[in-house]
Amino acid sequence: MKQILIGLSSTGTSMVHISRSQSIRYLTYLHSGSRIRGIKRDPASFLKNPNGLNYESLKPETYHDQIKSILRLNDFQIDLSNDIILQCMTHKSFAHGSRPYNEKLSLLGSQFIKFRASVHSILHESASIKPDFSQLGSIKSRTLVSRETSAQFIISNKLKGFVFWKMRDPLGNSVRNGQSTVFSTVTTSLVGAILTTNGETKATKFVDELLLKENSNPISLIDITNEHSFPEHTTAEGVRSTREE
Amino acid sequence: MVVKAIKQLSIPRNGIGAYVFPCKKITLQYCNWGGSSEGMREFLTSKRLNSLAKKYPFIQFNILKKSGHPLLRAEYTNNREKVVCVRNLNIDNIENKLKLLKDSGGDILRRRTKNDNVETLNNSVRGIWSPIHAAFKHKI
Amino acid sequence: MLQTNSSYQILASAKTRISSLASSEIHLLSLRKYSTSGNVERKPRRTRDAELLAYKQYYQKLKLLTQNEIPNDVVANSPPLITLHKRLNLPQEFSMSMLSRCLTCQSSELPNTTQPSTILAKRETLFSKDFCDNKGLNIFGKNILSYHVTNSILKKYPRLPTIVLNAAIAAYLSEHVLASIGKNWGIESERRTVMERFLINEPYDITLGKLRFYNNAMGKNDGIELISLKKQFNETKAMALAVRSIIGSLWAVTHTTKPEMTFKFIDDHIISRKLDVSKMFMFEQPTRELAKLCEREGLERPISKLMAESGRLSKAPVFIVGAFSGKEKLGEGYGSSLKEAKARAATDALLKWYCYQPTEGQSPVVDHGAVIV
Repeated sequence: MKQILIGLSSTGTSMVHISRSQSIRYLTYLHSGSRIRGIKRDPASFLKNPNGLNYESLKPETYHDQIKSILRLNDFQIDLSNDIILQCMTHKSFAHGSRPYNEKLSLLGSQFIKFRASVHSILHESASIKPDFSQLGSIKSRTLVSRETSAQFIISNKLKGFVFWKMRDPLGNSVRNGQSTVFSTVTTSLVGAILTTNGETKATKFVDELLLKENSNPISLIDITNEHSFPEHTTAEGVRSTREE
Repeated sequence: MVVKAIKQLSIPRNGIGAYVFPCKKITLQYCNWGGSSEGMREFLTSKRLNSLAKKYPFIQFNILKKSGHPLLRAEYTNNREKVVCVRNLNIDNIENKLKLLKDSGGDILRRRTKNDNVETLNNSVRGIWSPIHAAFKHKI
Repeated sequence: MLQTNSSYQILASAKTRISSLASSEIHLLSLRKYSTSGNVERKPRRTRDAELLAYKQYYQKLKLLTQNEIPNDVVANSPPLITLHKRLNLPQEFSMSMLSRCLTCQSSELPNTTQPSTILAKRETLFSKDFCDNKGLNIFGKNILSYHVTNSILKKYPRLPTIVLNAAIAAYLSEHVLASIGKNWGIESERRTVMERFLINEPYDITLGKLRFYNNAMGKNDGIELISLKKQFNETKAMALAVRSIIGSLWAVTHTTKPEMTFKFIDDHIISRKLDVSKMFMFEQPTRELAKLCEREGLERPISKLMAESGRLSKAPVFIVGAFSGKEKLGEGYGSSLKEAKARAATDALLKWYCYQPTEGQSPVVDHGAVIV
């Protein structure tokens, strides 16, 4: 690939790429600066996350290894390739979906977290040895698997700056930008990726001992849920009493 | 997104994976007085129904006493039922009728036309012959 | 002996010649409804008050049975439960009491008194906390089902676009599908009022072996019915609830001894159903999407080439067009015009990409996501 730098417009420098990989030779003008409808944009201008991190020039020691150590993947003998970690951290909104994104991993991961959370609820929150299904569907167990909780997991564990996504409105607040939706896909897709590549046994261990454990490092989903103050009527009877009204 | 999904429902294939026995309930109706129920009464007092019930624990056998001719009424998992009148039949014929009902899938009986022997949900393995793709082209 | 592995009941008067000749193993019931012939012995006639009191006792007993836990000794010989258990080939640990609980919906709880006014006022709104229903089982069953079905579909077709994936999950797990599975399992729903059941002197284990989803303390003609509630909760939903609950409780009883059993059960009963995912796609701009896909995957720009044609100037022309990327043929389509054939060829190429199935023993495929145009 040969690059020729030419100064064309007053708005900024523009790039012309000449590729000779095919028999046809074609030129593409890549625009940067203010957006013009119908003109291709220079990838360097949009391959950045809100934190200013450049997608193309990520270094394993400052990016992938950091994420691995925060999530203690090595402690669980989980082997995730750098590409898959980056895919998990990339939301569909980033670069108009032209880079691998986490949508389906997140779908699978959220189903798995819901399954494990309900197992946790019926086995560990019951007084007796017998499985207790009464706590399922309570506000607390719904909060545990909610979008806000899994988004808070990313924020609390300082993974926020690593996420690649595009804000709807850079001047708007986090609710308008759908920040919690984006961040929750990151948490769930990490679980989905572990499940797909490392198998169910390791994924179960990871979810049960990291995400669903009290007072753990990193801050788990249970810790985040417990931080919410639940009034007295938050048990299953509480849900019923709200239905009564 | 340019790809859209068309809603579909999956189609049951009983026997691939699990097999649920189609016949779920058989009611044997008899009359304690009528002569046409003679064989049925004999059948009910014999050990035959006991052994059938032991052999097919997934079928619920009901015995119903009602005046009139004796009947065998079978209910199937496809929400249909089949009724056979067993008046004046002897004990062996009744057992045969019972087995006939038990072995039925509950569907309506249909006559198949010639060469209509295969009914499948799958595509043809061999594919469909196409004149354009054929290696040898006939000349007219 | 017989009653544990078969179900067998006599719906006739207990004192007939037939039943006295039949062995003692046979489950005897005296059901007045079926005893239509003249020589049947009738119950001694009771006064109105005594009859009412008997009804109240029947009602209270039924209500008491569904509190906390349905006693196993009451339902252990229930014919509908035993046959259902055997039909599904459930393990021994799956008790009849558990199965009966799976068929108890929250909305079927009987009101506290038999006074009609309170029945109408508090109907559908008051749930006591010790009512033994399938609410929690249903939630758990739903979680385990959606996880396992998603995982299985993704393993088989790793490249399905999310929207098609969701449609495929719905094709296996939507309410209608689960309800039809429940019907095929032979689950029956209770349609008669408590009074009707009392009058034919029906034993409780018949009632507890059926799907109960509405409070049938009163009949259809006895009072005002809320049509909107009927819309919200109907037999289809209740049947789906029962199916999910059975799967949820199957996990609960087998997770320590046979952890794979529930997943095998789901594979056998649900994943084994036929679904052709290639019929679920609808492309709006197939050629454009194919071009974008080739660009993303680093393939050469797709080019459509005419491969065969017949009768161009006739009234029924046929064109065969192939979509090529360099020397590779990605797909092929037919059509009665060049445009149509070109679109079919691009669709074929896209379907071959999205419906890709990895072979056995291949390392897991993590898809990059569907193409966004």
